[in-house]
Amino acid sequence: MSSQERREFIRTTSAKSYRRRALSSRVFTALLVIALLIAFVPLASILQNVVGHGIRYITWHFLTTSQQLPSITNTNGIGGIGNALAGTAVVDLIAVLISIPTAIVLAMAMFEIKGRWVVAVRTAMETFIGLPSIVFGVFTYVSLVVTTHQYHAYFGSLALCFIMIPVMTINALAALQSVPDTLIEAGLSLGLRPSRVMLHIILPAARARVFTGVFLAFSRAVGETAPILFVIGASTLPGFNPSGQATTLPTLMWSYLIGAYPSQREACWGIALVLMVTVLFFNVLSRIFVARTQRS
Amino acid sequence: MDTAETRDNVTLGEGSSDAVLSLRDVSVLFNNKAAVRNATFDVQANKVTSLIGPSGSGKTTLLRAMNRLHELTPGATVTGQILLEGEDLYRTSVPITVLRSRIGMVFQRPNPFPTMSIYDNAVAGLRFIGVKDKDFLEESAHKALSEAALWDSVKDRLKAPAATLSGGEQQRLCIARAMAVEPEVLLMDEPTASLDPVATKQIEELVTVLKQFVTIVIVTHNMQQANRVSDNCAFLLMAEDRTGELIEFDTTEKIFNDPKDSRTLDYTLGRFG
Ligand SMILES: Nc1ncnc2c1ncn2[C@@H]1O[C@H](COP(=O)(O)OP(=O)(O)O)[C@@H](O)[C@H]1O
Ligand SMILES: [Mg+2]
Repeated sequence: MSSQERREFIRTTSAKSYRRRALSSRVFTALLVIALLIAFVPLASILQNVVGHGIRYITWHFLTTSQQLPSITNTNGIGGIGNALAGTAVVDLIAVLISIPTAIVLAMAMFEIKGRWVVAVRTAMETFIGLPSIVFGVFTYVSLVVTTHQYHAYFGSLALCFIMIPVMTINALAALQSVPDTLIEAGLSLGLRPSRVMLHIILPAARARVFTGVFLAFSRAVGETAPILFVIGASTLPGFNPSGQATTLPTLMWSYLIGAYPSQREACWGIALVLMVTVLFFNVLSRIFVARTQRS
Repeated sequence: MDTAETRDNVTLGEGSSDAVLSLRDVSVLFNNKAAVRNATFDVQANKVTSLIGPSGSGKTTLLRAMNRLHELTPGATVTGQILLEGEDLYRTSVPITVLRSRIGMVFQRPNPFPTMSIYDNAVAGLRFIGVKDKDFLEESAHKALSEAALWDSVKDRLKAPAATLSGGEQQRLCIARAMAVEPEVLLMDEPTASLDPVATKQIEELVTVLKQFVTIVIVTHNMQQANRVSDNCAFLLMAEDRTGELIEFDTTEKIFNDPKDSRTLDYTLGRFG
């Protein structure tokens, strides 16, 4: 076959198969769109419900005053969610302050110490991620509440740490490992100690991805009910004292759902909306943050 | 081909009958800021056309425009016309995938598909466009690998992973992979930038041989290389506003010995850049 004939043959084959390829491309695009719709329809209807039912609760009064127990004479007197917002802020902030450094240090250690036990720790963490969160609640309850006979906000923070640390560590480790070897070698070749290479080269190069994991773990933790339900007690006071009892948005929602008054159950929509907006806010924040870090 | 006549065609820029690719007023913008501005020249059939100029003058950018690769970059726009045998690449009804199979590309770093064998790499393009005939594939692999001067050294290990080859061999495998689909044009972006002198020399020799089968556009920052391998040469330079501009396009001979623009002379003599 001459070169010209080969070219002709290849072009005709390409043109013929193009129609088939274009068709299958269209079929798969259609399948993807359908899959997207299947995922989107329930999401949209949840959104519509939460916003539709919850929006009327979004008032300054609802967001800032503490919860109240309704009475027979005032069945709608549920107060607001101020105490739960404060509780969420305290419990989650402490959890984040503990888990971010812990996870980053763990990830750095697992990155540096390559070996069999790292694989074991990793597997354990991946298993942790898969466990239902109530397990951590029960564990914290048995080990702290039962032994001390007390409820504290920071017990809840600890329980959340169990959820966040594995997610953050696994993500941070993957981020560190994605840094090209050539960068690491360039650092070492300048005579830097491995610890300096880690702090000044690997960690900065990986920071966007590390923080993606942090925010991912955090958004998951904000909405968790089960792990903290048993351990933080319940408080109707808008306190910021971590050693006192506390109420968070998810636990308040849980107690309202099983509450005696219809007004309480109805208010769950409002709490759900606040929770959703909070998570959305932090997700958007993380996107902006990650985009910023990657650009610089 | 008469050199004088060629030169006239080139200088006129328009209507040279043997132009495979014609660039007309081509600009490439990233987020509305131009990286290359108003480039006009013809790439002649079965010749080697080199793009030279200092770093950042837009050589890569211009080359990628010839394969519509900027479409993958958000915020990138290409204006002007690029004609492949008279057909406007950016306004044709021919699907992009079909067009790209007529314009091969070899990148700065060798990038054979890491999970494929040498043989599978060589025929990857053919398989993707639907060639199933085993004999044809084998013949193509033989032909393309021979054209890339690689056949003799790999014929006994065609099933070995492509990653087992040396850098120079990997780059020649990439050339074979591009040649196997019988493209009309082969775009090469500093194909020897990551290779040693021996491998570089082999690729350069290859380029001068390959031009009988395919029209070649090669980006290089190595002026000796441009001088050795190319017939025509485009010289790009950054303007004050850091946008790349085509300063001069002519036969390589003219560019290196008798350029019209003093900046071309300065650059080829190594006075800057
Ligand atoms: N994807 C991109 N986004 C934004 N600017 C780009 C992009 N690619 C290239 N540029 C800009 O285009 C200019 C020319 O780059 P390039 O074509 O790579 O130059 P050369 O190959 O001649 O060294 C550079 O100033 C660079 O900043
Ligand atoms: Mg370049």
